[in-house]
Amino acid sequence: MKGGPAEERAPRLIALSFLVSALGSAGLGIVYLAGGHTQAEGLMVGIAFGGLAFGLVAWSKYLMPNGPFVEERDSLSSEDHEREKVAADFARGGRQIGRRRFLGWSLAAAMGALGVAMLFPVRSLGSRPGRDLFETAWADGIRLVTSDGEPVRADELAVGTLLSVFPEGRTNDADAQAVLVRLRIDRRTGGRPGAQAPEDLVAYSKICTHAGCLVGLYDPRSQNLLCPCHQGAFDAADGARPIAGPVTRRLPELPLRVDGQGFLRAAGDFPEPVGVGFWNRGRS
Amino acid sequence: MIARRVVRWLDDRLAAAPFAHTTLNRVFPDHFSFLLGEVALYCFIVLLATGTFLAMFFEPSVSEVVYQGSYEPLRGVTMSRAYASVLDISFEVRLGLLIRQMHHWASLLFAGSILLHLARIFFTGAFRRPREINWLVGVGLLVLGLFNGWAGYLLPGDTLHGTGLRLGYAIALSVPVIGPWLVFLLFGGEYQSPQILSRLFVAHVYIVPLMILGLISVHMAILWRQKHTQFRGPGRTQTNVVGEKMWPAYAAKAGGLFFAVVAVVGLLGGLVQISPVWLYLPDTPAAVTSPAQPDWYFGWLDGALRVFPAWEIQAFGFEIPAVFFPGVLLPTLSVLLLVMWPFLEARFSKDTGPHHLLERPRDRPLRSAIGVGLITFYGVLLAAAGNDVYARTFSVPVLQVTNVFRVLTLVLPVVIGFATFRMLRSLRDREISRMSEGAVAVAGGAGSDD
Amino acid sequence: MRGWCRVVFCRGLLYPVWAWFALSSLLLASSPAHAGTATTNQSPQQAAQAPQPYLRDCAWCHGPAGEGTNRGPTLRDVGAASADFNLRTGRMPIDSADEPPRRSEPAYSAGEIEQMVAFIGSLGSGPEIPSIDPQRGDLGLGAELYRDNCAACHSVTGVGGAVPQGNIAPTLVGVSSLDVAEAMLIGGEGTFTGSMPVFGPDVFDDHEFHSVLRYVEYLQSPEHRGGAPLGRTGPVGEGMVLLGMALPALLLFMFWAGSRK
Repeated sequence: MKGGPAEERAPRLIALSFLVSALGSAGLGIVYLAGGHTQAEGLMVGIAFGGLAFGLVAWSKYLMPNGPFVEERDSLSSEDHEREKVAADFARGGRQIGRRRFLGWSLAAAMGALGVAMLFPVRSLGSRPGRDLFETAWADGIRLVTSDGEPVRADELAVGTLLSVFPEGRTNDADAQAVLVRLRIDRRTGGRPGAQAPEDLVAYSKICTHAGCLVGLYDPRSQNLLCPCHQGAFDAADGARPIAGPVTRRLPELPLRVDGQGFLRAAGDFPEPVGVGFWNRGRS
Repeated sequence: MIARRVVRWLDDRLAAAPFAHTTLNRVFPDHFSFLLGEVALYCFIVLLATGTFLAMFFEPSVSEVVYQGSYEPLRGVTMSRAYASVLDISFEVRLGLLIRQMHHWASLLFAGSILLHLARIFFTGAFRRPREINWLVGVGLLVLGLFNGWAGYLLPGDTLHGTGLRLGYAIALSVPVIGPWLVFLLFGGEYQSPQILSRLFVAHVYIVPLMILGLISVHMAILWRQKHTQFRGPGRTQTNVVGEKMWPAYAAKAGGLFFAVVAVVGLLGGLVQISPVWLYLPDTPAAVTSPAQPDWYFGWLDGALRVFPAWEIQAFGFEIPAVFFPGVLLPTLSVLLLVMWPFLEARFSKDTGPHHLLERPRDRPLRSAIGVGLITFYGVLLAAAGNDVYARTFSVPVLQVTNVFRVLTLVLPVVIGFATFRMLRSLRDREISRMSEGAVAVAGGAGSDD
Repeated sequence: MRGWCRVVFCRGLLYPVWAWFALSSLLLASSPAHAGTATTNQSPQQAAQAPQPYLRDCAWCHGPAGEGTNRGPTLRDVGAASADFNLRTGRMPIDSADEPPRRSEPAYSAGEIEQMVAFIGSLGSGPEIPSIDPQRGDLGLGAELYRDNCAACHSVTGVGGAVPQGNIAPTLVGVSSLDVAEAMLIGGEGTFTGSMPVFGPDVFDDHEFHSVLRYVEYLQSPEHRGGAPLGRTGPVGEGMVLLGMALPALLLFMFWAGSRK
């Protein structure tokens, strides 16, 4: 839009815009020197850059030549004879290889071998999965401890309490972590392995079998363990069987026993791999 | 005067004059929707600049340290060096919190502008020959951008974003046959492997940005070579480009847009809190928080994990875990669909000629309807990722909310896609009949009523 | 029957009438054995006389001596802490046993509450009202304990969350330290929804208990120096700001900057 009141107003507004921007930049400097304040800093950045933004676009839109200009567009497809030339170029060079078949094959073999050799640095990136996904640090006799290393007594947990437990000495162990729950004995429904631990104490792997989030919520009334990520639910009174959400498999149960001093110990490792599913999980 | 001397100096060394002449006079169609790609580019520049600043302070180390900084609630708490360095950036470094928040907001905006840009390309048919290569490059940029966002937001090591790492691990592990190997090579071992943080840091700061820079260069080079598309209009043909000249009008406008993007990111970075990791607390192997959502551009994946039913395939001791279907299959099929689209459409529409003029959505009702249906599909999944937040806010059982979303995921895309198809087709038909009536009138026949 | 029961028996206008009938019939129906049971089941404290507000509003569901009925659970052994919590936070009285109790304005004056708390506390041996001083706790320890025990349900930022199976872990923002302490001691059974575990002396020692209280007190008004906290909704709120404000703002700017042809 050229001429008329817009053209007269525009330069003044644009200059004002740039001035405001400069003030914003100065403001940023002042805020910085005064010790900084995130909201003020952000505001100053917004003003400094915003002033420039408005000024430049207004200048372009109202004062600069906008055309419309026209430029010709060539066809992208080249002439046939030029394409033929390229094909001939390749063929000429290719005949070299064609004539020396044996050299060509040995080159291919060398490149292939090199390609395979280049994969070995990738192999160095990690260990072979081996038994790691099938086993945890738990074993018969290892004491249960809380995250601060305190051993757990079998009789100290009130009904309806949930405790996060680890193998003694490994309170940072991501795949051995478990939750210990004292159930209401009259609500227990499922059977359980091992007869040495109190009937109403159960420990399950804390790693949700859906996507690996931690099952840290417990509802004492329904005796359900709950996973916050995708709302999976497990029945703690029935072997942590999945009862809601996208979960397909129960949480592995840690066999427990009570030692001579009344402390809780594991009676072995989890009977199945903990955590999320993987291809050969069923073939341990 | 100075310009002349500069031009001469450069031209003596680079034969730059003809190139500069062509460039300065290059014509760009300036429809507002063509600016979306630029916005994405500018977001990336902001990400590079702010990210470089952050990388000067961030320590990608899982070694533990006892915090003694100025954020009192965590003083004396043991945390990773990584988390402590983010606290330092937020509380000790001047402008640190602003730049950190700008970086995170820019990543959200980056994803948003890429998706809007993709939508514009899709609905106007700009991916058709000769621009299929650029479409593929764009899809690559989308995937890399999303991945880098994920890798970036879990670097601080707080409880909320630690969930993202667990999910990544579970999804990678669920891949049939190669899952365990893939995970052990990428992570360097089982879940708690200490190498994963520095690997993600290297990927986030070096590998992926380099790839993105490379692809952006290819993207722009192809655009330069092929010249921009344009909408139909007076004076516009398949063999010309109508618009503004690069210098000065378009350059000024592009520069202004860049400053506008930085302004928006700056305002957000200072005024709206994002990812307050000091409140989320340092992640430990046993820490849980709820609700836990990823950044918005992965909401569709999280929503899919929530609404997808508990289906697992087991046979002969092998299994395909439940997470595989929404976590691996859905994204793979989505990317495949994107990649194949130009070729599928060319095959089905039997249209293999070059196109430099754009279509309006109503010109291709079927394509537009499919596009709208797909947007609805991912949109519903995105909304589903907040199912526990809705349950808490409206005091409704979360299972009910989930079931509602299951139904919506299946029904709404079809309904809306179908409605879009009907609406666009009737719009187009009405237009065609109006044009033909007008043509008849021009040719001297009976006048039309409108 | 439930809805009818609710309308006829529990609506405000009819309260005094029905309470009078209930009281008279209970008094008439009470036998020596009944009264005897009420007194012989006392643990250490002597059973106090039920205060008037209790008999008027609570006895119908919980029994005149807190023994429970088929409409409400027994109050024996719930402890003074439970009574104090439920009455001060307005969770009790509720109109119907079907609805979970929700925080609201207390229905009684402080004096009436004190009377009822004393009475219910005397009925058995549940947790006493704790005497607390959050400043005794350590903020850093509290943060870690909160993260490991509370964040899963109440959210790491304290705004609460949906607990699957239809329950809600309420927000802790706007909740006094005494409320938090009592809720921890009485657990779910005391707050009736049953979802909250008990965090008593077998889970936290005194220092840990107060540390958690101190951190929850901090969460009432935590550090938000990054800007508007968006209701502490995390990525959900941030996504809404992006899609609802930032992108539209940029689109408007582009609309102005570019052409519309």
